[in-house]
Amino acid sequence: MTRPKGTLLLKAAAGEGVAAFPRAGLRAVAGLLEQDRFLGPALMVPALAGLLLFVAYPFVYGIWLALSDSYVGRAGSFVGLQNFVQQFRDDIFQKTLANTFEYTIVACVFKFIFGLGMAAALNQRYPLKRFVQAAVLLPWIIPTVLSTLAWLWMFDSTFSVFNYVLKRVGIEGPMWLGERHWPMISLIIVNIWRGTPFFGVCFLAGMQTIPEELYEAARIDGAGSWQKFWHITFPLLIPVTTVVMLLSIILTFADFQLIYVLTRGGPANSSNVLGTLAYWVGIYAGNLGGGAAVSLTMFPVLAVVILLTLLALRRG
Amino acid sequence: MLRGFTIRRVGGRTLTVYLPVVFIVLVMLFPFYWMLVTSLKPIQELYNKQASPFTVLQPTLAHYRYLFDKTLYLTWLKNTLIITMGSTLISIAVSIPAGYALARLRFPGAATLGWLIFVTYLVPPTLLFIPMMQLVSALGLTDTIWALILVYPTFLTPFGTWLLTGYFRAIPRDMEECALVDGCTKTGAMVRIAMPLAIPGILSVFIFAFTLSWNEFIYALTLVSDASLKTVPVAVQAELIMADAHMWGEIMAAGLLGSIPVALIYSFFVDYFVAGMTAGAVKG
Amino acid sequence: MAKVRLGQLVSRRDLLKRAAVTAGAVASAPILGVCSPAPAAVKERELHILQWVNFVREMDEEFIRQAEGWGKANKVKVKVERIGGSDLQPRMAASVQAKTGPDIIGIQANWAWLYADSLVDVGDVVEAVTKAPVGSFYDDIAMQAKVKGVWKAVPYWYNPGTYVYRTDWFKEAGVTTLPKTYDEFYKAGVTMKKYGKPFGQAMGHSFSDPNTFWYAFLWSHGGKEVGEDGKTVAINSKETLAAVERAIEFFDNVWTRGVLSWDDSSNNRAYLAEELSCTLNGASIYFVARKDFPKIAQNSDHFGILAGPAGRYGQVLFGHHVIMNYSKNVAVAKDFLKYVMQPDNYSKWLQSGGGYMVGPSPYHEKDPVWKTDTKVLPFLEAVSSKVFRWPGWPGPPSTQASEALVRYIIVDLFAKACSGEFKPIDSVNWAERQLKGIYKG
Repeated sequence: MTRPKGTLLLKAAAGEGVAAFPRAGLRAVAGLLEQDRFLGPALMVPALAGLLLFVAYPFVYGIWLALSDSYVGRAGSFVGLQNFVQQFRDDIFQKTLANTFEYTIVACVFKFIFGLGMAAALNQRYPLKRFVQAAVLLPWIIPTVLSTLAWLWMFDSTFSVFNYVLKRVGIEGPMWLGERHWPMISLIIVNIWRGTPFFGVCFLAGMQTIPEELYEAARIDGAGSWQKFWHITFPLLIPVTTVVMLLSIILTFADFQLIYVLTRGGPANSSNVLGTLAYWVGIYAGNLGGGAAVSLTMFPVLAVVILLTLLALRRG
Repeated sequence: MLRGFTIRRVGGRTLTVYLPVVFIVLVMLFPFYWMLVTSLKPIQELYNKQASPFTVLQPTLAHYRYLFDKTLYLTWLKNTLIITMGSTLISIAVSIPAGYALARLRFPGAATLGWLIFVTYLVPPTLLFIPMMQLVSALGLTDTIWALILVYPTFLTPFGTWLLTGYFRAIPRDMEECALVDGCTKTGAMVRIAMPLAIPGILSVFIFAFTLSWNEFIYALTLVSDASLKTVPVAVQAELIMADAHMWGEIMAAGLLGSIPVALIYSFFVDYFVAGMTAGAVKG
Repeated sequence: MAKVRLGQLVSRRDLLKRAAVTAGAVASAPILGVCSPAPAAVKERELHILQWVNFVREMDEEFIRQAEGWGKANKVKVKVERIGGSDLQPRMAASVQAKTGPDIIGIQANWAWLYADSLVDVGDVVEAVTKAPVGSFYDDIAMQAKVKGVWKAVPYWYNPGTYVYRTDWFKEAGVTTLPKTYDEFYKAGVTMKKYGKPFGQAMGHSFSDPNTFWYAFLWSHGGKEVGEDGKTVAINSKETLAAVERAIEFFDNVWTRGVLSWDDSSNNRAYLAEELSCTLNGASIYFVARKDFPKIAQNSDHFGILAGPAGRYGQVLFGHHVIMNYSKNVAVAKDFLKYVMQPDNYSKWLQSGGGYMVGPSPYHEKDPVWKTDTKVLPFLEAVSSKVFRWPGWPGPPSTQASEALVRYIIVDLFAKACSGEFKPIDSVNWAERQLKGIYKG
């Protein structure tokens, strides 16, 4: 069996102009590729090589940058933890850190609640069900920058459509992007709008895998809708919930686009998150070391969340 | 059936079913309606505080025409398409063997490597973009489309691999085992048997990667600055601010048009998309 | 049997191909990344210019017309790239860092100081530009372009701002004399706010309007970023504190709502939406009104820079051209800049703006563009009265002043107090901390 195989291969190889390979060598390689312990790593090489070059290397380089005083146009030298010490003393950074946590926690909690509600509402019988289920996912599908620009216009200080409506009922609408705590609230609102469908669809899919018999049995036992939800639906959704929640936390914590487009971190740097602050410090002001340090501050939090996710997946 | 069709029943259904569903759809889709209306409004209506924001009295295609005539919009669309297709194809080409290896083959370090790929999410683009700029510059790729085509797979591949591992695992081994008995090589079995069966999964990965890639922003913002090489998301929020003013008509038009490719692909492959999203969450 | 063997062939070839593609992509990337020009003999010269998007479109169109005309006549392929003003600086930073990008960049303010090490000496161009009849540049522009005795930038334009106001509403509300000081401006503002048409001034992180107003506000009230030595941070003074408190009064009683998040376009839009009765801006508001909202244009006029207790100062945007030292087309670039700054060409460009830009030398005050519309004369007056200073004044232009500018320290000094984030004294202390961090390095 192997001899004909080898001959054909050689002929093919010659035909392709790769005549340099000695027959024995090719056969040896062919043999190796039959064994899992060689084929496996071989198949993983492209993925690993790419990740090594474009993830692991920049990550390590980023650590070096964070420990240096590199500026745009000037090479840097090692300065130890100076960037980190300075940033933790800086008001803007402290506010940014608090913002990032506030943004993530509040948005994720609401996305969870609304997502559950959305799934519950959509998990019923109504016309055009397929269209509806597809349509509600659009906020998550459409590029964030493009939909956020729509919100930017909707929140405009002069032309806000929300204020237009509020004015009609006699309320003076707020400066959505300019006054006190409103910028953060607006950011969270847009994040919730964008992210709820993700939760909703995952919950919906989870709900649809719950066997109908369970609900039947409960109904026979006299359980009402709320009890059915609380005792059947909710517990069975916990595995889905965990994974979706953890993924969402990662994405929300490391968000950049939404804040950059909606507020640019303003006014006066009061609505920055770690991602946008890293951009202002590193690229705008040219302080590469400082910017890298801000970025790296994300790492511990992400590490904890990823760990929890891996544990949850393992169990699930 | 008709017996239960009382007024109260209909009212109840309206309250618990129709109203919430309609409300949800409205809330989710309103901004897009808004984009459409704004993109069709002439300047006089657009900047008129008295005009109703919900309707347009004299719709105009002027903003769209401006987009195509006076800006590089078509170029940006082309760039985004090339980058998205390129990086998506690369990530698929890389995820398939990796996913298969992790699902089917037993080799030392398999579990660790699997986790390692997933752990890439520990370093999202917002964490990597500053050193990435330096790396791309050192490779001489700054201000090229290649920079993005090569960098995007870094966040597309982990998810693709994860997804495909699940799909490959779900395929029963029998057919491959038959083929192996018949003298097929392992790689042959992968390509000839497993891959065709995993096409739904591959499609999911394609669609997901397409969407994520089209949506990407921070790398596109920092690695490519030349206006003629920009992607749609970056260009729309940067290049359409002219004359002391955001050109809101054009921005909304650009936003709508820029969303169409993704929306189209999505609408044709909704099920694959949802399957992809929930695969990780539900199948675990 | 044959089918199986075919499968093997396909799979192995596939594998190799896939590996080759990835490896090849990575390996060939540097080659692909570098533009491969045609062999030297047939080489067409190229010039890549980066400029901001001018607020008056016609000026950009005139510039491109001249650039392409020159390019054709001199067999140079000219590419003019435009970018929003707020994104110009990071774009330049990226080019400096990657040592690749445009040959000529149209910079603003004192960036020549920030990036001096990456710029070509353009002394010869300046010499050609300033010979008779044009003569030398205004002092303040020259100071931004000449870094430590070496010309690193060729001054290009001067974009003064004045206050555009609604003549009809002022009359109706009883504001009969135009304000000349911030006190008079305040009183008029209170009246107009009661009338229902307030004033508005941006306080956001936008490169033009916020800096223009708030640097001037600080100086006019006696505040200083740094001493005359350019090193000692002098922001923490009772004058600065008084200025901040005054700013809060403006915020509470004069400005319209939302100014904290305003960028450069917000006051334009608000004025053209007939929400504002007065705002400090370049002539762009008036020009758009003339074109699209004639009723507003007929009822608008301008008054000049205001004076404060410590004097009459303005801050304004200057534009310069720089040549990057990584450029391979330095000689071509120099020729181009000399061409663009020739009196005839430059005058054509000024005229396309209708008075929006002022030339960098007193010579251009005589340009015919100033005879087209009397309502834009206050812009000329602002320039000829020499009230404009540069970021970092009274110290000389410097890298540190540049950094303070792009980090909006002065704007935030006022914004953070007005928003209530800080009490006035805390805001001053905050600004001092930030500036000390910048000026120590």
